[in-house]
Amino acid sequence: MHRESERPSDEELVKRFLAGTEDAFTELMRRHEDRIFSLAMRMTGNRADALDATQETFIQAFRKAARFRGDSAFGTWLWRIGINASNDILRKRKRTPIPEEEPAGEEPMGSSATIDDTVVTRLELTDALAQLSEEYKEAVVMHDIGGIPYEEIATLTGVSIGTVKSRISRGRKRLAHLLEQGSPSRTSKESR
Amino acid sequence: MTEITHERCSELLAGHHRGELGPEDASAVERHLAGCEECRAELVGLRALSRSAEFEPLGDEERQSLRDAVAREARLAPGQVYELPARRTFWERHAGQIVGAAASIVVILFAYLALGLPGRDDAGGDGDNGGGGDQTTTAEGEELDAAPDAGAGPEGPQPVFITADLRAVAEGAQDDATESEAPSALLQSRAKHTERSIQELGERGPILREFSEAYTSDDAGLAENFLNQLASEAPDDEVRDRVLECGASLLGDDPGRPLLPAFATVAEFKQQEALILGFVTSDGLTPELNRYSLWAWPVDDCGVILLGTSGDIRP
Repeated sequence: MHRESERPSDEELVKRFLAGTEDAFTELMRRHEDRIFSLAMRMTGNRADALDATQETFIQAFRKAARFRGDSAFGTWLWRIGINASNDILRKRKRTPIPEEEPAGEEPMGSSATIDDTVVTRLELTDALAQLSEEYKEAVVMHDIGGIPYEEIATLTGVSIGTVKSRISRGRKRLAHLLEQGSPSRTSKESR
Repeated sequence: MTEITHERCSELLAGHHRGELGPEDASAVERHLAGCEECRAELVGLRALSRSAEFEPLGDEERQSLRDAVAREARLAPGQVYELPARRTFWERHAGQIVGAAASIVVILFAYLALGLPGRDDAGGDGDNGGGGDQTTTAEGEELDAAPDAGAGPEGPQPVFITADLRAVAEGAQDDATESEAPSALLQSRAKHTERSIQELGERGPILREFSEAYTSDDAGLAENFLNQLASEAPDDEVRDRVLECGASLLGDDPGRPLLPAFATVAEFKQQEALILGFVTSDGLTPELNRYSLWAWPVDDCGVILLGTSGDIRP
């Protein structure tokens, strides 16, 4: 317990990094890489893309660490960079047809991966997420995947707590609706 | 037994799903869900998100190669890369342009009043856009031939369609310039592009850098105008239509990070004639348009992306 209290905070590590201690960044990466990969995996639905997005997130964080002002937790700030990096990949993929021989990310989400008796693949969830507006997606991903509290999301995105709550509520419903309708990936496969 | 509102149910839903609520809150949520279709739909969305958590975690090899890649890509010494300048005020951003414009007015007035010159005939103004000259000068005093008609007037640089004619002009002026000194030459002097040469334009090209320095996310409303301006400068109707179609397919995707069109060109890329569009955009963390976004399509088809790449505009 005593050791735990001596463990430097993320914010302290950022300061050390900016003062020239690169090891501090390595420690930050160790602490957050699993969480960012998990975010990217859920947003992109594809392991290779998730690794790319995770890499890009930490490169951006390395280069922009001086912009971190401590208004939110470092993890939240990093999470937002991760969302942007994943969005960039989704944006490119949306316009680049997935080659037929590579059913990217088409692994089912596990044996318990059913939603009200409908099997949803990770790719379908990714498609549905990609169709959410950026505001809704950012809010649900931060809160429901990242576990980031309303207050912190409000600070980071510059909107009121009420708006954050409303976006999360609407985002979840919209997501359920999109999944129920069936994603474009499923439709296109069925029509082949 | 208190009843809860939709809003309260929504707030408690994540905790309920994770089994973290106390018995009173949990049963209040259960009761509300039983009679509320809307909140049940919300729960379906929430479940889908949490179930998507089932995947293999990072393996040791993946973890190591991730760390190596980040270390390699972000290797520059601390203080050199991430010590970015604070956001500049309007005056700081436009001081050079305003002083330049004021100086021009004084010179013209002097010429007109003292020397009796008619004003335009010998001023060398052969640019179609009234841009005034083939060179722009950076704040550091470096002469760049990047945006001949970019029109860096008091209202900021304008988007430019780089045509073969301009390439020819640039080639003549670029004899002794190295690529690293004048990366704009990559665009103007090469009819043939590689992915790397396009990325270099984004990272170091003066056109995008000028846009980055002059505009912020607050100027997002200019995007459509700029796209129309690029289209109007296209060499033919087909290219014009493609600029509008391909460009419009990107605008408005992410309201938090607007794309501001800066240049267009047609060049050989991946063994075909390609339309290349260059934008400045934001990282979503600040209002600055500090990133480039470059796209290439076959000149006759916006449905196929030959390239979509983005990164930091280097100071």
